[in-house]
Amino acid sequence: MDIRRYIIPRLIQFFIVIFIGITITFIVPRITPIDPVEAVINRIMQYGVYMDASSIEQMRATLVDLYGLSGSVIEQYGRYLLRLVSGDLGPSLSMFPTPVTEIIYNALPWTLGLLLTSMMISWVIGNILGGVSGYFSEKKWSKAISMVATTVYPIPYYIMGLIMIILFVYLIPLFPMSGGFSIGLTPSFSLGFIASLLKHAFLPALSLITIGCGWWFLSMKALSSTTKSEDFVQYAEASGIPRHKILFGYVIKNSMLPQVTQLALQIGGVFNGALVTEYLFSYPGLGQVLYIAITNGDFNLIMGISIFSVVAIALAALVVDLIYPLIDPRVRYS
Amino acid sequence: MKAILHIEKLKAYYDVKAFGVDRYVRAVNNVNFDVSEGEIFGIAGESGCGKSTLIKVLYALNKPPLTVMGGRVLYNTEGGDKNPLEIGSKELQKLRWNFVSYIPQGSMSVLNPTIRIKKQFLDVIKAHHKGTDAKEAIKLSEEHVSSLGLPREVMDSYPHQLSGGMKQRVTIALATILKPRIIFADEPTTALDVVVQRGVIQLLKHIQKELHNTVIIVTHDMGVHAEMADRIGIMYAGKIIEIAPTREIFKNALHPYTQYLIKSLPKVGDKTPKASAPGAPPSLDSLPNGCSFNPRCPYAKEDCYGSEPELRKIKAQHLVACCVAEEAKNGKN
Amino acid sequence: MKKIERDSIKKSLVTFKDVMKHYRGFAFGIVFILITLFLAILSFFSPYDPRIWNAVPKDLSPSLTYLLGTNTVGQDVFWLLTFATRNSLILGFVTATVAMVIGTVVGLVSGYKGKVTDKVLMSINDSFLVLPSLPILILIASFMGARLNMVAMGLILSLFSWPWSGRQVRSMVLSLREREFTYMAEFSGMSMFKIVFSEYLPFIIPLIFANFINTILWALGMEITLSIFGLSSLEIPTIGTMIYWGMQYQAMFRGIWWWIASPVVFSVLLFVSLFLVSSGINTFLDPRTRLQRLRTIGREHEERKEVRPE
Repeated sequence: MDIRRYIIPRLIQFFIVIFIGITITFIVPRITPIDPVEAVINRIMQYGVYMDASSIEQMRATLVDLYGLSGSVIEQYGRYLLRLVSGDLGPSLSMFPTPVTEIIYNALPWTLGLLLTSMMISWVIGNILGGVSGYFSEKKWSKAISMVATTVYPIPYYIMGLIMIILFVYLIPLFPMSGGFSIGLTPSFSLGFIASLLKHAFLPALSLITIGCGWWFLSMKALSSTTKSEDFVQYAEASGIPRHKILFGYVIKNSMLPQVTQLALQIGGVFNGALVTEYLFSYPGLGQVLYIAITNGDFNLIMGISIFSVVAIALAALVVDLIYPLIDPRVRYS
Repeated sequence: MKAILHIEKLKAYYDVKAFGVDRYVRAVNNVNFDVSEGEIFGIAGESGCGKSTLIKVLYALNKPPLTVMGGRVLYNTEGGDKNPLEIGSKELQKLRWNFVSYIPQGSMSVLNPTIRIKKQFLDVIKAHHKGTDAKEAIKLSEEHVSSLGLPREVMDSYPHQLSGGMKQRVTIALATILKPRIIFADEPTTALDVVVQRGVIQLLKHIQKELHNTVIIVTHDMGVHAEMADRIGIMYAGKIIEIAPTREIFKNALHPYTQYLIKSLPKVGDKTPKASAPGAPPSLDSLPNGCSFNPRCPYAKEDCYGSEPELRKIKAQHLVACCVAEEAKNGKN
Repeated sequence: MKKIERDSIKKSLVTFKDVMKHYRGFAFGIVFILITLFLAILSFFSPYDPRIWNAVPKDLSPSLTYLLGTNTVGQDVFWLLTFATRNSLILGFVTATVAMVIGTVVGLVSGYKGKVTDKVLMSINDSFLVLPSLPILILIASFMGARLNMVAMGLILSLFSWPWSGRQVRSMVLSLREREFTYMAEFSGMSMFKIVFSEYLPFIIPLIFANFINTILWALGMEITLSIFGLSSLEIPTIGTMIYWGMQYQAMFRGIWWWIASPVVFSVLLFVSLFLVSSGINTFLDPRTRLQRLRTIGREHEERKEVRPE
């Protein structure tokens, strides 16, 4: 495979995505009616802090500087990009002077854990179930599961979370409704802590996994049904290869390939879902942080999370793209 | 000599159900003939006459909506006569590839794109001889492939790395690895260029000579039949309408359709304009009454619109399904 | 109207009725969407202004006077829901229309022109596909002071939903481009604009239809998400804001389940219906099965005629 010809366009696309995302994040605060500086000052005054005219002016000047709002737009953009490249996302306004990056890094492991596990599990289970179901698409059980998946998949993440809460917190009280782990426990590698961790993560994960499974199931089922009638599957059946071998080695193996590409496109959507689900369950990930940022009017934090998300997701998509040749021999040996 | 393949009153239709209404496409419409051991039997006809469907049914590859409506097929195996359409899937599995194998139409895409050729061989061999050691199986495949004149590197390749002709030869190798008694070949030369075609034909003939087995080859290309077939069966609108040794067909066709077919073949040096049969073959879901050829037949008489003619022996080794031909023969006597 | 046109319209009506008969899911979806439209229109006849609190006694469970009960701020849940339906539909419609227009134009131009134009447009298209929509939408919404009306939100949402149809329309155009009738049109001097709009549009329309409904689905989901974060205009009743206020007043803890259940159940039914309808349209317009269906239905009707006694 001509590595350069494969990698370089994708790298370029990666940078373009980030560029567009960052530019949007730059433009938005400057064209919307809210003046962040005034908003922050208002907020500070709301807290009952009295400031005389000169203090307000000083505050204003500091904030303008902080926000990089001095100078022409081009200058601001330049400074903005420089700041970003050095990994500086500015300080949080509601938790001044904690840097935004620190807040993100604290919340990140929770979101990452939730996101990765639920994506992994729903991708694997959804695809295998969908593959088998597509191969046996005439059977009753196959149609039954399809119906379930069809009702589950369009449900928005938040509502699914609510349903989980209604079912497993109210009707059958099995799981806690909020938090990352029980109050009072200290993080350690003890069994007790890990158990608490899992218990708290269960419902948020379940809600993401259910919808994910629904989606992967339906798309894989459709793929597997079409693959089933491809020439090489018919031929394998004609040459007497046993059904289970055809199902896994021929049908599923070939249908998996587009599903890997899909993974790259789906990451953004599941990320959104994770944010909302975390908010609902007060799970200490980025979703929760985002909500706090919104209620506190912490524009820096909001901007920081946006930029971070753009980079993270673009990176994830790039990684999936780069892994693809390893599994598709048609791309690897061409 | 007993026939190794016996086909009797075979009917297979595509049952296309939509919104509760049945529509039948009569792809195989009362086919009767026998094939002797060790011969190369060609089945010729235009596209859409049902020959590929016939082969599928003979190999018991029919799946809904293709339904066998009647008749039977008998394989003359060592364990007695077996009808592939009636025996259970376990027995069919034993017969497949060991006794009878199949080279599909359009070999371009019949190999699994994500596994290497040697794995494809391994899968097939293991399917029929479960306990085989993987290394041995691969070695066997490599030897077989070389003996057919294919380079060793083919085994380690993925299908997309091979040319069309090479893929076709691989499927021929796959079909013959377990040395079957009958080989069904469905359009093995279509979509290949002429030079590669010749290679494939030579390969098939070579195999047949080595294994002394029976080959049934389906193609619309009369040139291929001329090169390979001992006997040819002409198929039209789901029926075999004429069977005769190759030379007979080319020199002395008796059915009006066959005559048109032969007349339309180009010959080097012959610059006369070719006439083809007027009109077009009937749609297989709405066949005319009586003989299916009567809308286009220049000799059609009253009888032709009444009942469908049966395949009857007109001369030694020469069978025709046509009232006009029969009358001509009777007239001569 | 010419007879041929009348006949073809009659024929397509015939097939629609039969589709309803044979595809139960699609039928259910259509019925529920009609119910939704009815509710939306009903909102114009509401006896209560949804922005007013304390219009009715609080926290009453569903009864004949108050079909879906009342909530903690003194509003009739049923009438609130009709407004929510209306607003959600407006939002969905605005987003879908704008996204369709942009996406279709981009796809058409990109697919037809090819080369550099295609690469550039698709690069932008894919960027918007990959970009995480929620954080950026939250950014935009919070900087707009969280005072977005339905139309404004619709426009903003369309920013992220046009790439889906962009890609789809482009692939369709790419395959159409290679067909013979394109070459014919080009050689006879038709301008690109004309070719694309008069020749390709009939093929593109079914794609657009299905995508339209999918975009509405997505937009409604996003609206709920944004409202829950407290970012849309909270006096405007939408499904999202109803849930938001319900959560704020701890409706579930306090047993006022109808406040939350109504928008939740309704939205789930709406989403499933939209999905079923769009799948139904896809199956119905699938060219492979269409011709066969038309022929068999035609025969069905003929046979019925024969059975009828003289």
